[in-house]
Order: sequence, then structure tokens, then C-alpha cells
Amino acid sequence: MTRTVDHAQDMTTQAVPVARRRPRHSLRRRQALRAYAFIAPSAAIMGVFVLWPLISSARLSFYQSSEFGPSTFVGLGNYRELFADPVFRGDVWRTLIYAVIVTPVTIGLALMFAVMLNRRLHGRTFFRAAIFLPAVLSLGVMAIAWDYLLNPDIGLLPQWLAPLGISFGAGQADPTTAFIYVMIVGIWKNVGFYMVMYLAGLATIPNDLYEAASIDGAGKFRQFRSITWPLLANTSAFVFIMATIASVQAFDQIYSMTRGGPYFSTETLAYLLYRKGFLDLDFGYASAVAWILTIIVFVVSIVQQVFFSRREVRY
Amino acid sequence: MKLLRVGAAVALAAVVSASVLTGCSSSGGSSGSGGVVDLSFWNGLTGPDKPAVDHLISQFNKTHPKIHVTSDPIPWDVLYAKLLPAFGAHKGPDLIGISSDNLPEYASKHVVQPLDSFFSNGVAKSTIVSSALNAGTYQGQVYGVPIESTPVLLYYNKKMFQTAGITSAPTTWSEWAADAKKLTIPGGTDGNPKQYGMAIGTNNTIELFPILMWMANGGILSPDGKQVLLNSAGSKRAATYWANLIHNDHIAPASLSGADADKLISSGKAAMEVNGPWATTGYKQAGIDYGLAPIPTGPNGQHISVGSTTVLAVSSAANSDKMKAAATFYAYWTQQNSQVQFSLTSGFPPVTNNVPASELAKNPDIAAFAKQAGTTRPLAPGQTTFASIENDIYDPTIEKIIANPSQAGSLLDQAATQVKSTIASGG
Repeated sequence: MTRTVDHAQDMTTQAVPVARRRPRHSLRRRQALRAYAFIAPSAAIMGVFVLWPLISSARLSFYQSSEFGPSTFVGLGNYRELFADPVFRGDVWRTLIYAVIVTPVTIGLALMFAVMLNRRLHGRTFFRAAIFLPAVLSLGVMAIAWDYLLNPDIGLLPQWLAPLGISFGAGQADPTTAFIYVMIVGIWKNVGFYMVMYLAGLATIPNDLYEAASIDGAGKFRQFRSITWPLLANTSAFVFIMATIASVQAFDQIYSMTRGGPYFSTETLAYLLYRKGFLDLDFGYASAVAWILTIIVFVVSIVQQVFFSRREVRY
Repeated sequence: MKLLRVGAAVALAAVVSASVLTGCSSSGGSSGSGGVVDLSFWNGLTGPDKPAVDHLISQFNKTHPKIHVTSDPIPWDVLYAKLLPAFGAHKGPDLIGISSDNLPEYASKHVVQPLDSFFSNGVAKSTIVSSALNAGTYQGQVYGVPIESTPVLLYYNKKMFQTAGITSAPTTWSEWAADAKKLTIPGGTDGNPKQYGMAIGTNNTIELFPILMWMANGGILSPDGKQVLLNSAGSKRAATYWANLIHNDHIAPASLSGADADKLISSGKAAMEVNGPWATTGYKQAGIDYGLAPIPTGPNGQHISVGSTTVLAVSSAANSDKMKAAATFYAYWTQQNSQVQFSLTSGFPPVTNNVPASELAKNPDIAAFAKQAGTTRPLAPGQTTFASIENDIYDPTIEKIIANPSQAGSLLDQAATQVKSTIASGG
């Protein structure tokens, strides 16, 4: 979208001498109209499917509504109730912990795999595909498989790993273990996608930089620290923002594996939204949760945006 | 540029969270054509009972050319998530088949209409099992008539009983607890038992704990639904007793969903479970040789089970033609032949008392369930906020108690306060 607008402005400057006779603003206006026409289809789609739901959910968050019959205006009632609810406060806390752990671990692993698989290696395609595969599978479905695999009583993994002294304890029944499980599955799902992003980023780094570095006597680690990592800054910015948003909205594997339990110990804000909206049919309350979640994502995204824009690289 | 990009990221984030709350529409409006009354019927009957439901409906459509019922089976959670919004958008079905526990919510919002006219349109009220009929009653009026109703019973693995030298199913709590301990064999992976005495679902299931509380004169609510009994001495006693058995004696894994508990039985990892007739098909397929017995009696010595009832309710938007057609459909559903056939194919006991015992004897499982039909109680009578009480308060509290049996008293006190405020604010 930005590009279309920029382009239209470029054309204006070039076109001015040709259209000297006509009043300048008429041409500009026509071009502006054309630009708007180009934007219109996307704007209409965004308006109907993004803006309108956003506005109506904002409105809904001030009502008590079951989406049937008249809704009652409750002002900030839903928000007040929300902040007084210890489960909600726990969910905010868990959502943040999830994001703070899952985001860097996912990105770290993605970068590691990308660097490893960027070299010539036997079975490189196989490994790339194997790591990328989860990204295209349905997380809801795969989480059901994970739930089976990790089940302490009938699961394969505890059975196989027990002889190695790796204990799964009570598995999903243990609040801490259950939370670790949903985090592991969340990481497993996304590593492949970000790895591909990093592989694309790595491909843009000119090889002569590495040659020059190695002539200067820089080792592999030094090369990574001084060339690879700084030149991947743009990719990292994108990946960090996407990964953070994905983490804050964790839902699928929680729904499939634990339903937020035991006793809310794996519940995140996205699951609370589902539980309040679609199980309790309290859509006003759920909309309030959705807005808190949106605001959290908004703030985190802006902070990240400011942070990364200072580190943008051009080469 | 920068702002636009921030905007894009934020918009993207917002789409995902906000759009979760929108995608709810449905088809399902219906109108008669050529003198035929069409009835759309949304229900959650997707289990082993589905073939029996389908068969009965197709028989009905064949024999009633002026009425056409179209069944739309939808998984329970999805069904409940979309029903109210669908009715709100005037796109709801004519008939719904829902759990009687959820009915008061729909009745109180006037989504469904009273069905008293059914009984002057060919449905014999006296033939319907009274506990099942009561389950569909809200504030003295029938809003839902039972299409499936069953108690839950104790399933036990005969082979495991034999190996442990237990000759008959337990009849009291003390026998039950002793058997469960005996059937719990240590030596599994990660310090867990190799075999559990029981599998007890504590979320997303028809739960055992409310029954145990009733057996000790407690419960979630009093039978008239007006008093909260969660913090009563009986509820605390039952919760503490069983939580200790799970936590200290490991007779069952903690925090199981109903599906997880069933898996343990199917895979021969647990010996006993309290469950409904829908489980028979799966256990037979898994090759489990099970026996069925009434749930052992507790401190008050009474035989008690929970009634799991699916009721048929009619949309408030349905006109008198549709109401009459619905009554005809239900009259067909409850006639003797239909009930015999439905029972024997679905494994559920009949919802009417006009089926002779000789017919039921063809399937001893059904006979066992039918025999206990009189012992059932509704889980939360007349509660319009049942879903919230169960998901947000009861289940998490029970799981917390199992992790911490000594806290049962204070946790149930808290839960009772929460239930009271939920009832006061909802409905």
C-alpha cells in the first residue's frame, strides 16, 4: 500500500511539465483518486473483516451480551469484573511468561537451525523439510498427537525415555509440567517457519564479507557475531514481532492438550477469551478480554518496532 | 512508513484476536413447501448413538410424508457455541437436542418455547420416565422432552478383578476404596502405578464427584436448586475422602478429562470407571471384558446416580404447524417400537416405561442401565448459568482439592461463594 502511494507521488513530479496547461491540482487529484481506487479493494476487505469486527467487539465489551436478545449496557463493568478476577490476572501473567520464554527460545532455535542448514550438508533438504513441516500442519490436530505421546500412563515418550532416567512425573496433571508441555509444542510448531525466514535472510548476505573476514583471521564465531547477526537485523525484527504476536495469542495446543487446566494453570488470555465467549456465552466479557489482549499486543509491537527501527541495516 | 508498518502489525494482531469473536453464522432457516413441514434439528448426538438417531429419523420421514426432519449432528462444544448466536441472527433451527443441564439457560432467554401442547397432540406424558421428564422442566413448565436419558454406572474390568482375587463388584464406599487400592499396582513409568484402580474424569465429562457428594448428603445445589450445598459438611467429607484416595493412594491419575479416563479403561490401564452407556461400544471394540454395577453407596446408604439427559426443545420462532409436526415427531420417537429399536441399537435405556423387560433383556447392558433409571438426579436443577458453574468453578475446584486434599474445606467454601455470586449475577 505504501508503495502504491509513493509511486503515485513520483509520477506526479515527473508528469508536471507535460501537463503544464492544466491546473496542477486537477492532475494530482485524478492521480490521487486512482491511487485510492487501487487501495479500495484491500481497504474494503480490511474494513469489513478487520475494522468492523474491531469496532463491534469494542462496543460489545461495554455490554453484557449472550448474542441473543437485548444486550445490557454495563459501561466499564466487564473491565472492572475482569481486573477483580484472580484467574484473569493469572492468565495475563501466564501469557507474558509464555511469551517471554517461548519467543526467544523459538527464535534462537530457528536461527541455530538456519545457520546449520545453510551449509552444504548431507540430507540438508530432509532436515529442512522435517523442521519446516510442523509449520504447515494443523496445530490443533498435532497437539492431540503430542498429548498422546506425552501421556505419562499410555504415552510412548515416557515409556521410551524412562530407561534413560528422564521422568515425566504426573505429566499433564502437574501444573508446571503441563505448562512446559504446551510451551514445547508451541515452540515445535513455529521453529520451522522462522528458520525459513532466517534462511532467506542468510541468502542475502554477500559471501565476500565472509571471505574478507576469514582472510583477516576471523573465526566462525567471530564471523557470526560481526557479520551474520548484525546483517540479519531486518529479518530478526520481522521474526521477533511475528513470534511475539504468535506467543501472546497461544491457543490451539492449549485447547487440544489441557483445556487450560489443571485448574487454569495452562490458561492464557486467548483461552480465557474462548472459555468466556463460547463456553459461558458471555460475549461482552470475552470482548473485554479480546481488547485487553489487543492492547497488550499493540504496546509490545510498538516497543519492538521502536527498538528494531533503530537497528535497521541497509547493505 | 514506520507508522504504517506499526499499524499493519497491530492490525494483524487485532484481526486474530478480534475475529475470534465474530465467525459465527449459520444456515438452517426452513420453511414449508408443498404442504410439507420441514423441521431442522441441530443436536450433539455424534457418538455411537448417531446411527440409531439417523435410523429413527429416516423411518419417521418415510412414514410421515407431510413432515421432513433434517438432523444436523454437531459436536457438543461447537453446538453450544453457535446456538445462541444463530438464534440471535434468526437463523436457528426449529428443533434442538441439548443436554438438560443447559436447557434452563435457553428457556430463561425464551429461545425455546414450553411444550405442554405436546401432551394434547399424541404424546402420552405418563409413559415417559419421570426423572427424565423432570430434567426438562424449568420453573414448572416442560421446555424439553427427553430423547435420551440414562444414569451412569460402575464399569469394572472383569479380568483385573479376577487377577486381584475380587469376586464381585463393590457395593459400598469402603469396599470400593479397598478394591481400588488392591487394583492399583505400582511399577509404571516415572513412579506412576502400572495399573490404576480407577479412572476418574474431572473435566469435560459427566463427573463422578457430584454423585459422591450426593451420597454424603452434599452436592452442588439442593434438589430445588435454591441452596448452594458445595460448602456443606457432606460435600467436604466426600471430596476429602476421594481426593485422599487419589492423592495419597494413587487409585486414579489426577485431572483427567472424560476422554482421557476412557482411554485408560480401553487400554487396560485402569480397572474401574463410572460412565454412561455410550462407552460400551468403545470398550467392546477395545476387547475389554467389563461388568456393570450400580455405583457403590456412600454414607447415606442410598443408590444415587446422575441423570444424563438429552432433551428435544422447540425454537420460540416455530409456528403452530411446526409445533404440531414436532409433537408428531416426538410421539413417534416415544412409541414402543421406536424405543425398543432405538434402545437396542444405541445402547441407551428407553426414555419411556412402556418397553417390556423381555425386550431389554436382549442386551444385558441396557437392562442394567434401565434398572437404575429411577436413582438419577439432575446436576444443577434450574440453573441458567450451569456452564459457568461447571467450567469456571466446580471442575477447577475439584482438581485443586485432588492436588491438595487438606485444603478441601476452604476450597469448597470459596467455590460456594463463587457459585452464589454467579447465580446472583447470571440468569
